[in-house]
Amino acid sequence: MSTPPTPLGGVQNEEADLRDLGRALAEAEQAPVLDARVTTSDLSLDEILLLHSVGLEPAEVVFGVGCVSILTGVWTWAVGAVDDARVAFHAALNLAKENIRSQVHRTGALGVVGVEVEVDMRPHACTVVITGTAVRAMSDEASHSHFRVKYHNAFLCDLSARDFVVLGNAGWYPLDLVAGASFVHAPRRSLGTAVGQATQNIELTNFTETLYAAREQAMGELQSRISQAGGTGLLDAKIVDRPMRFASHVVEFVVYGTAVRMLTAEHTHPQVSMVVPLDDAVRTFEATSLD
Amino acid sequence: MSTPAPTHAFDSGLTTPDFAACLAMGLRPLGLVQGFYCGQVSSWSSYSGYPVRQYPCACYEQEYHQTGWLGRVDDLDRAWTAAHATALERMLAEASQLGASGVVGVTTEMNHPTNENSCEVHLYGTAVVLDGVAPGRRPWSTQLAGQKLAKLVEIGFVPSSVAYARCTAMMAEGCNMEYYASGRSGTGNVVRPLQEAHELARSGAIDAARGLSQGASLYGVTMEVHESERYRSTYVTCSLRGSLVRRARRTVPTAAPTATVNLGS
Repeated sequence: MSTPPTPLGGVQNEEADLRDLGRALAEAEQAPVLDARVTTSDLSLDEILLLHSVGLEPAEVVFGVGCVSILTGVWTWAVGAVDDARVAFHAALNLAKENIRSQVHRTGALGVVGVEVEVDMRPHACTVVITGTAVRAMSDEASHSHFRVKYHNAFLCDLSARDFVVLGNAGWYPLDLVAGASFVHAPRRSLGTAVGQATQNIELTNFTETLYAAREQAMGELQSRISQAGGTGLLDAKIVDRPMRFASHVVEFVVYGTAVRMLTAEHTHPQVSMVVPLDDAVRTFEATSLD
Repeated sequence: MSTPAPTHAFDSGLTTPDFAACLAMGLRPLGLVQGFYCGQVSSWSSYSGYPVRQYPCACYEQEYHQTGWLGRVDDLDRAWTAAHATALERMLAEASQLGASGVVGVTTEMNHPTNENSCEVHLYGTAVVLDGVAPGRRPWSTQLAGQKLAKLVEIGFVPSSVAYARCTAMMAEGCNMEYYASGRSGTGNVVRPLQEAHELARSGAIDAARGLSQGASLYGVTMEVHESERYRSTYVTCSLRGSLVRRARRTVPTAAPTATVNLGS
């Protein structure tokens, strides 16, 4: 009967001794390769260690690309919301999510952590690229998975591995990357109004109201997408609100984040230890103050 | 008073904490080793793309018809990967001369020294020897050093080599791309040429990295993507950098982390 492997830190998982790690490095010089599975990961080692603590390990760097056309003229002639742009954004995002999920499925992973989202909106096309590291459950020699949560559909989350672990320890789990988007025309002021206001400090109410309108639409859409994903909340919302660079009278409002759901009976409060670092920079004597 | 004769002192690129951690692991620094390569990239490289996929006419305007295609520009990629491999070999040769087991804290700098048709790769790191262990035939190399290297060993891996892979996809715009990316097709159609150029560059770079691995895993990957347009063609380049590591022992779950709140400023 083979003895189960123990962490270098010992059975109690205490912090590993550096000398032991040095010896392990020396012994491994001639050791055979244990696992022929090729893994790629853009996670830091800290993140990998944290994932190990919940029974996950990186599998593969995966990506999804979606590029969808936008009808010509919508930026110039539309009034109010530019629905074509919103439709194209969601079509591109869904395509990218579909592509990344098919890669996750191929690698046998459970989902993707640390997803980075890039959106490139051009006059006639919207491109969305999402990249992250697919993670799979670690299993023991008897093929028992160390990760207990079963996902029917691969999860996508733009939270870091650290946030993923903290979230999981509190009983919450990520489900999907969801977004709300709105592109709205700010009505132009009349020439007379513009000239009359040229020498005044005034609020451009047309832009303020457009921002509010764009926000209303995008946040409403986000809410419905969270529900569709089966989530009860959203974490780490990223907001992009700005005039389009090629159509300055159109305000873009895009918000995205990770839909989450609590899978345990109740929220678990993590036990937090307070740390006071004692290595503050020492305030040194300044000779110039004698002037 | 005469200056004392120089003795063999080591130099290194290690930070003080990394130096302390390396010593605690039994890794003794020997010297700062470097590898350089400066070269010219063939001016023909950018035009040496070969098609892997063609896009048929979509506009149905016979006068304008022009077939578009998606291709790879391997010459350009070969120039940069060969430059990196040569600089790496030169750095490892210096490390071997010092009797090193490996090189830690490897940093890579890549530039165009003159114009876009030139390439410069500079690799440097600290050669180390494992106390009491005879160095292997070829030193290993890694971007990690000190505590980070210790963590790598703790999770069951040992360093193999730093790695660089890249893939350049080229899309020659034909009427298909023009049609879908000019808005004439309406909203909601997939612009396949552009989407597939991005996919080809990324998947090509990942596949190239896997080709380098020989059973090892690539950790700490940094992915850079650059898109440019020249002569009605779009170039998408994806480069990957990371450290190849091989599994030396089976990984077991580590202890749950302790959550802390830092009360420092």
